[in-house]
Amino acid sequence: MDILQNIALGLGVALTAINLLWCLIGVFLGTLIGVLPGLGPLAAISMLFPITYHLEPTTAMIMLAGIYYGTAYGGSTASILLNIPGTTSSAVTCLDGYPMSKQGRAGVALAMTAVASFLGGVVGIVVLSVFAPAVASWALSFGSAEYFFVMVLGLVAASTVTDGSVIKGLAMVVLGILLATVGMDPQSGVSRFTFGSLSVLDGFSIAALAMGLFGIAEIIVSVRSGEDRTLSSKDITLRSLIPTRDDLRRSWWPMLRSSSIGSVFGTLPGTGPTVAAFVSYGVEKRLADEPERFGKGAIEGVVAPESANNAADQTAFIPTLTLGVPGSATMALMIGALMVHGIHPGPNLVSEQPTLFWGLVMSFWVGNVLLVILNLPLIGLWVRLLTVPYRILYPAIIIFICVGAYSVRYSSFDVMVVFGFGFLGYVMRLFRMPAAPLLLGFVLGPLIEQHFRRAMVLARGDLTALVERPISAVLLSITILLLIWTFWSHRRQRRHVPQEQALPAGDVDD
Amino acid sequence: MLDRRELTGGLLLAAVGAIVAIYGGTHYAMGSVISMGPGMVPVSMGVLLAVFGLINAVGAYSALSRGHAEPVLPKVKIAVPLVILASVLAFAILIGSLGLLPAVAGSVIVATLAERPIRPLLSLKLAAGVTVMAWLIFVVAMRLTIPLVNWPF
Repeated sequence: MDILQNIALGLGVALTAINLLWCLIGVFLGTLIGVLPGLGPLAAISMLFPITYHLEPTTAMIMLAGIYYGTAYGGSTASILLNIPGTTSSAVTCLDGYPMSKQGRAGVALAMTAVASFLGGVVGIVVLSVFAPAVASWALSFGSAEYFFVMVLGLVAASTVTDGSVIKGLAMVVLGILLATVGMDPQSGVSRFTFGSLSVLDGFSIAALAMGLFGIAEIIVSVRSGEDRTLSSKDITLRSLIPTRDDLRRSWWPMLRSSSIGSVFGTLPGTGPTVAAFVSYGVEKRLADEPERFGKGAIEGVVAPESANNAADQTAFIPTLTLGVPGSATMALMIGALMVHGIHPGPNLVSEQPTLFWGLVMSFWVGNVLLVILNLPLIGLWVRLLTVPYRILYPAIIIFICVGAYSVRYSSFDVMVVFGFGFLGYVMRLFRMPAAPLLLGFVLGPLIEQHFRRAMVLARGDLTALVERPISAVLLSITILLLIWTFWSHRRQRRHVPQEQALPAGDVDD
Repeated sequence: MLDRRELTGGLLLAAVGAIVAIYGGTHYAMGSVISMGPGMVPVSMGVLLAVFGLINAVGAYSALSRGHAEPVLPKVKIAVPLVILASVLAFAILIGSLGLLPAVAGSVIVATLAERPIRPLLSLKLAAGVTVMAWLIFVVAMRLTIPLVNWPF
């Protein structure tokens, strides 16, 4: 069978000594960078880009990819232990991971995220291998109308994820969309809300925004909060990593479902691990028998986003390699790395460069296995990294954030963006406004605008034509149903539990 | 004062939404739904935000009437946020003018001022340590080409 031949070919490439070495380097660096709040895959990959010039293209891709999905493994560590996401796609993991950690179950959370990430990776790779051609052509049939509705669904799902009021979640999504309008409008060339500044023409740097909104705000809340943020390494023994049978029982289905959701979202350009994590969290919360457990340390709330984001990481390569369409900025860098070596990703890549494609795909297996091996015993190492007393740790984190933000464009303006969003993030905490939907609105806002405009052009101004398309109609119905369901279940909850739950992201009252 | 927090938050959102919508509407072409101009999203989203803000503010009143508001005055920390934000600002200013190493050191020193008791010796040692670490990670390992020190003379 064709696919067996390809697998054999790929393994032959992936298991060579040099590719194994660089895969290991990649996943290790990836995890390390993921663990450290303030540095994300985008910054890391762009910084390590020049190293790849000296490597063979396949080896270069293997290493870069290792960094990419490795960060997803490490990102959850900081989310769980410090309530600061190590990477954007791990932001949702804070919601249940941190409460688990406060309940003394950090070890279990960390172990389960490694397992969940591995499972997500496995599912993602299988989808990638088996469905690459088929999925690509299906995604190709997605028109702007479908993209528009998918993204609106993603945003609505994101705002219903928060424990607080849905209105606040929706308001934050809208605020995020507004923040995304700052800069030059690609379709009309008009500079919106720039007030003459040239640095902001491309919009706010998303890394800087995220680091300010989540990282700096978290630090502000934590310093001198009276809460001892210092972990003791005694808390995390190897035995305490073992989850209970109940944990495992609860996790199976969420992991499988989320991996599937992640695989789908990873494929679609414009959506990726972050959206996948949000949506799968929302789905699991909806499907759980006791949704009130979410936000307070539900294991499902930890494994679902981690499976989803890893699956999405793997399937993100589908449009990147088979269509040449990068699903995200990071994927665009991957394409750049290929083009430096004279290889042009596209529908022909699979047939013309089978050693590259299948070697890369097989290296994902190697990488994910390495990551599980690295992460379970090395949890102690990563945790030790974070057990340094908080008063010593937080200045270092601030520096990582600042240098990280600066390094994307060598721009001190981006550091000012961190400053501004740090302030905003703190104010939002004061008013109990959830930050995560804002990030999502920011990321998807411009795309939604673009797709809506295009859809309108294609439909020649007929709004109803948008909804007549079958996929769009389905998506719209799901969105409306979700909204109705959420409001109704919130109303029901309020009757039983009258107080508004405090957001797990930290209460600012001293 | 929980309800007052909700009320203020809601009103703030409403104000932001209104300002954005008005500014956007007057400065950028709206176009129509069919062919959207640059102003359409800012205005529509601004209006939507204002609506959500108002709903939230109104919700604060019903919480009060339902007796769910807790009359606890939250103490808002001023010093810590100012210092932390100042340390980020310090980095932004110093890196352009004096280079990476002074920026890291300066930012760390400012950041440590947020903690009580202030321990100057610890601050200096930490600044030195983090600066070395930053050099090792960002310059040696990652080969970022940030000027280490810019003497402005």
